[in-house]
Amino acid sequence: MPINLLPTDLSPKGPVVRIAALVRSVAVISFSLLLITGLGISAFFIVNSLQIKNLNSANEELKGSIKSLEVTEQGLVLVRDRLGKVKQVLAQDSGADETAGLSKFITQVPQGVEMQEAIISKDGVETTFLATASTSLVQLMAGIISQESFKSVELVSFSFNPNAGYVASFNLKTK
Amino acid sequence: MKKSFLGPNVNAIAMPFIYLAASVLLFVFVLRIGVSKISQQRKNIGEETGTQRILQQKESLLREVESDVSGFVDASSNAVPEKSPALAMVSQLKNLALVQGLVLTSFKIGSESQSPGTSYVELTFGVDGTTPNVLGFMQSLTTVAPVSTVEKAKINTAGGVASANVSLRVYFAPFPTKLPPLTEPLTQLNDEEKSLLDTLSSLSLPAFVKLAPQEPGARANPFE
Repeated sequence: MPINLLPTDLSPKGPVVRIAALVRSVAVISFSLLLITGLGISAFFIVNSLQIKNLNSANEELKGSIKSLEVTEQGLVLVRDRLGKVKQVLAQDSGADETAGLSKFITQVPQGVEMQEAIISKDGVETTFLATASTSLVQLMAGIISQESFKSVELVSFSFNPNAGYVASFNLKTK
Repeated sequence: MKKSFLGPNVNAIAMPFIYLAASVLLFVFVLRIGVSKISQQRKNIGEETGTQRILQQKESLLREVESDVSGFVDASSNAVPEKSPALAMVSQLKNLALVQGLVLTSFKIGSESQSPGTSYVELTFGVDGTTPNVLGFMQSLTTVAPVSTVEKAKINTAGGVASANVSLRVYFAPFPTKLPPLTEPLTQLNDEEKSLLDTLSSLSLPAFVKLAPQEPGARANPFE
């Protein structure tokens, strides 16, 4: 049994000793936790640093590889740019459909009918036909009406000249 | 013996409390700094992993299209060239007229219309022949590069000979001057773009005579 030679009024009293022992234990546990947490965080930090370093070097390698394919990349960027421009051009109105429609119809023009004039624009086709006989004129009109290329057919003028024949002007629209 | 100023009870309890407070403060400090550093690292790892994915995808795509891209470039850059394609189009018109057995009677190159997107040059020409051939010729304009649109065409027929006066717009646009950033993703050509590229590849290209480079020859002395 230890011998305490200190005067009794210099020694802490019973409950204080217990509280001090408890606080000391908590302090030791807290310090241990601090050490474990510090070590854990340091380990995690080191692992992450290594991972970042590896990722960086892999990315640098990939960037170098892509740099060596720069000509291909330039080509692909150019192709995509040109495709965008072509789309813009194709989206514009033009007389291509009107030309195709008239081209298809002109092969079916009956005997005795001649196209005198055609004005093709993106808004439609204005065309004038000369028919030498009424039967040809009827066939011409039937042919125009049955054309699927033209969504609307408008008879703009119609006249008869005894020397030439029947002159009919149409306004044909594809849209 | 000298008595402590604070008394034995306070002395006995103070030191453990100081240790506890120091441990708790250090714990909080280490946890705060550590968590902030690690979350910053995780963010960096996330960013670098994302960049790596983009770079890998970009590299693989570039390797995949490496052999085809020069053909795509030829087809698309002939369809919409960098500079005014008026002369190339005149050459194409002559070739088409020859194929259809037509005669080009005139042509006029108009002014260029510059715009930030697509620019164009007006080209007007006259052509004589039979009506079906003239119309066939006009239809075949969509089968040649550079791309053009028919603005207006007037066809007059007399005695079985059609005479057409056609106004075209032929398009061009400056080439892009810079590449996108290295870490920007690059996507595959979609089906619509591939189909458009097939159409452009089928266009007949303008034929140019290429002169072979020659070494400079000796110049004759005009005074001898």
